[in-house]
Amino acid sequence: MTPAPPVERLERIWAPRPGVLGWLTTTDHKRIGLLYFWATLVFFGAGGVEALLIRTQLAQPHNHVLGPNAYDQVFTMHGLTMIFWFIIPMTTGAFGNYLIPLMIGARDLAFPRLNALSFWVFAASGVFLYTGLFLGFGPNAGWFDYVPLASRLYDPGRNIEFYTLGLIFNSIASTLTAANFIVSIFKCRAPGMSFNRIPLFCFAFLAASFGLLFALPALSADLVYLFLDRNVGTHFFDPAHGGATLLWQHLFWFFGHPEVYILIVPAFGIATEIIPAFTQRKMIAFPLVAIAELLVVFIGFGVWAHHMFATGIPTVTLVFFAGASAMVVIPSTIQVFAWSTTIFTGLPRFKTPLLFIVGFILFFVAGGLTGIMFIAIPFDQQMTDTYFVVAHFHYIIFGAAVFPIFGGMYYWFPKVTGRMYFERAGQVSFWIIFAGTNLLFFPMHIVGLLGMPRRVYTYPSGLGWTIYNVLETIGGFVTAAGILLLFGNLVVSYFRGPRAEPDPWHGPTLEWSVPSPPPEYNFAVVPTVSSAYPNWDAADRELDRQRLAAGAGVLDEGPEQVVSSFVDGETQEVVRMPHDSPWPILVALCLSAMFAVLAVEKYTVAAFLGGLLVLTLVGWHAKEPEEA
Amino acid sequence: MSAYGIGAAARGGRERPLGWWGAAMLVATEATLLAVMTATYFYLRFKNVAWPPRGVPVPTLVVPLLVLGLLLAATTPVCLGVRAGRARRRAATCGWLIVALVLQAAYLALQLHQYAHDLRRFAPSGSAYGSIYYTLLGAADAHVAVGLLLTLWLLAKLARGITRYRLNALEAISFYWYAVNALTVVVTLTVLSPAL
Amino acid sequence: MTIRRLSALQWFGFLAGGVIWFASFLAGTGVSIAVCNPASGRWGIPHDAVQLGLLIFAAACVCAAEAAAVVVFRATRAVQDADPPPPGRLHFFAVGAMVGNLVFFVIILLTGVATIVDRACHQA
Repeated sequence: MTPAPPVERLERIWAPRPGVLGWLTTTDHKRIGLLYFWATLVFFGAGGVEALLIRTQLAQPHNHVLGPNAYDQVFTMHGLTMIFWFIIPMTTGAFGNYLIPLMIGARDLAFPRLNALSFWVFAASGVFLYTGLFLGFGPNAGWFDYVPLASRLYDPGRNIEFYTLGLIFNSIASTLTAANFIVSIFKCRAPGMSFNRIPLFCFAFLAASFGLLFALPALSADLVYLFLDRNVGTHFFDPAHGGATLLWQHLFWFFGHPEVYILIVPAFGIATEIIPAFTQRKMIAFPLVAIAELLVVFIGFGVWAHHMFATGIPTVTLVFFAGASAMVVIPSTIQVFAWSTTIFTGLPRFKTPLLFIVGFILFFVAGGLTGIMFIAIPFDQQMTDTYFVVAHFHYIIFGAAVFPIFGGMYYWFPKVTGRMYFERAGQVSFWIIFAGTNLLFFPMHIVGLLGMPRRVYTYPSGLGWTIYNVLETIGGFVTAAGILLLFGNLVVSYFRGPRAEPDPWHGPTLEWSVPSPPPEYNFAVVPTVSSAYPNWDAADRELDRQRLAAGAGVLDEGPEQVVSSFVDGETQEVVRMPHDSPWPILVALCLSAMFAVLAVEKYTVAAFLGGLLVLTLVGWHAKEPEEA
Repeated sequence: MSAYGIGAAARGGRERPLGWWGAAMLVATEATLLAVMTATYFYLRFKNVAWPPRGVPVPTLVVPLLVLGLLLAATTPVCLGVRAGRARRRAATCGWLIVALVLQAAYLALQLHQYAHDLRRFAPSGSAYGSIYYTLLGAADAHVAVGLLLTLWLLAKLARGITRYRLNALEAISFYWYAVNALTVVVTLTVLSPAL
Repeated sequence: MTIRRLSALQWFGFLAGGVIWFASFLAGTGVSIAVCNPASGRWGIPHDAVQLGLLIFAAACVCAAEAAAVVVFRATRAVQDADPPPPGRLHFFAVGAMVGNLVFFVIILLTGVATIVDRACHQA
């Protein structure tokens, strides 16, 4: 043994490169999580401004804040941004990256450099999409981009190329993250964390990752077909030459419905962390909740055509989708009952994070109930493409998916920054956002029932829609004010907030067992685990301290990480992890240059850049890890 | 390290290295992609009474199946290469991988020849049949091309000796090849189905 | 029963129901699409017979998976949620499988009966 104490050796081994270069070449999951966080916040801001533009345009009949062309681009970009550049990267990219290794007791994800590549590809895809918008070529056929509207005949500009290439690009990033999470949760768990001891948060992210892994290829195939139809003259979607327009919808929704659950399941995961922390009670029905998280995504692969009830498909085909859609309610309801029963039977402290979770449960139930109504095929055919649908999915996607993100921001703020946020201002921000959200989306149910169609840039007066639209617009600005208060609170707290203890909430999982903010190596000594709430197992944590004092199990001979067996989490071997690498960002640069020239139809240049990409990948693998 | 009971026995167990798991994830998502494209083929076929459309010849059976046989024949040397690698016999590993590489490269060359031949008779822009025919086959063969690059890279690495890292890569790349072979069989049978 | 045998039953109970449901779902949907399209409609696929066969086959498989899950559950009845593996893990997957298979069974029953009762290719 060397004379230096183990923690000092770890500090030296895991020290990042200083300054900006350190951030550009980082492979630390926490730094990448923060990069994802800041990048998605920028896109959230953009999507929010687009939302307010939409609401301002619709505040009055015959309004002309935006013309029809600008409106088409703005509402399409709002949908794309919020789904692909905010919620997914915020949950998987930011929350998942930062927290999953900490919760499973690992020092990093299984493939740290792949993780960095995922971030840079994601960032470049967002820049690519918004470049299109600023050049006047923002995607303009709705986020689900139906053909023939999106075909070259009806959409002759380059708008849809930014859609197809931007989304293929974005799905590369999501697929990399998803694969990384699955392998990490399967193989990098702390000793003793068998499948029945994985935190529910990780089960949720496992489900979302599987969803991404198997759903995104359908989208990619669809986007490739559309790109070829528009640029090479193929006929996938052209019935005059043997193609089929509905093919687009089948493939899009084969991806698109699992996508909806990919958005919501991480929110379930965040709820299952915050509820035990603020009720000081383990989640009831642990195995059922874990399986329900997986089931929601799995059954979600069998419901896609419920988005197509109004397309004239034979009923005998539709019943398959109606049946699965009806039964996906069961795992969702299992979770609702588990969350609420845990709160009722625990000792709830209604701090800001728990308030957001209560709001989430209310919105999820409300949005779920309108969702159940759509299972009835006749009702769906009546209400399709009205504001009732917009109300339904915003209750789910904003109320249920984003509220836990806000709650999670407050909950993990002390862990990430080492500071406490201001509780009173946090609670006020919750109530403002909660009221604003209801004011924004509830009247949409009514205008929808009154027949107002979605995606129209304006509407005539005298139909009884105006008052509801005014209320919605007011609600939109109230919500925006609440969100600004939330971020204002976090920014001020970052500089002025009181110092936080390592474990201010007495949280259930391992991230609360390390200092705030966590050191680069996460855990000085590899923790041992004997339940899904390891921070509450005082004996295990005491054992960790003893082992650290004795210098046992510190793994300080290099950037080392334990690899465990897939099912029962038995330690298998110790591997050396890559640490700080310039290659991910270089590969991402080649890839984005390739996509950029594809958008302007320079195929030879693209092929050349593809060759460069292969060379960078060879460089990536040039240096091998030392033999442990 | 003894605190975790990691012995030689644990290392030699049935659990796979992380690289293999990474390859499994890649294969899972790529298999889904090819399954979706195969489903597209049949979806379009259901709609078109004339499949292939008038003026487009029905694919021939014998030559494409023989060419596919070349690719499948490469499975054996890949498998033998992995065995030799596990036994740390470097020359044998490289030898078997080169045999596989020759067979796989021959497959790809003959496929390219077949495309050139087909393109003279019908284009992807002629009909939906042509569109999906070339896209589906092209997608499968792109995976073969990527596999060739991976094998070439692995050979360059193995030429400088066997390490744990390179053996993990061998496990991952061989798994990739098994999967690509299976997927290519499905895709080839799909595009040949009008002649069956 | 040995742990090894229980583990096999546990994986069968946990995975088989989902796999069979999804496979039968894809097959059933595919057949219904095939029967109702101009080219494949001429192939003479016996729609109702195929759907009935799928229904019976899938329902039987899911019942077998459920039975396996119940066996594992009964063998690990005294086990707590967080107990060490293998018993803790067996119990965990058995509980999940019992619920999951029930859901799959109802989906199969609902859709299978509906496809047979409904007139093929009629549009709502």
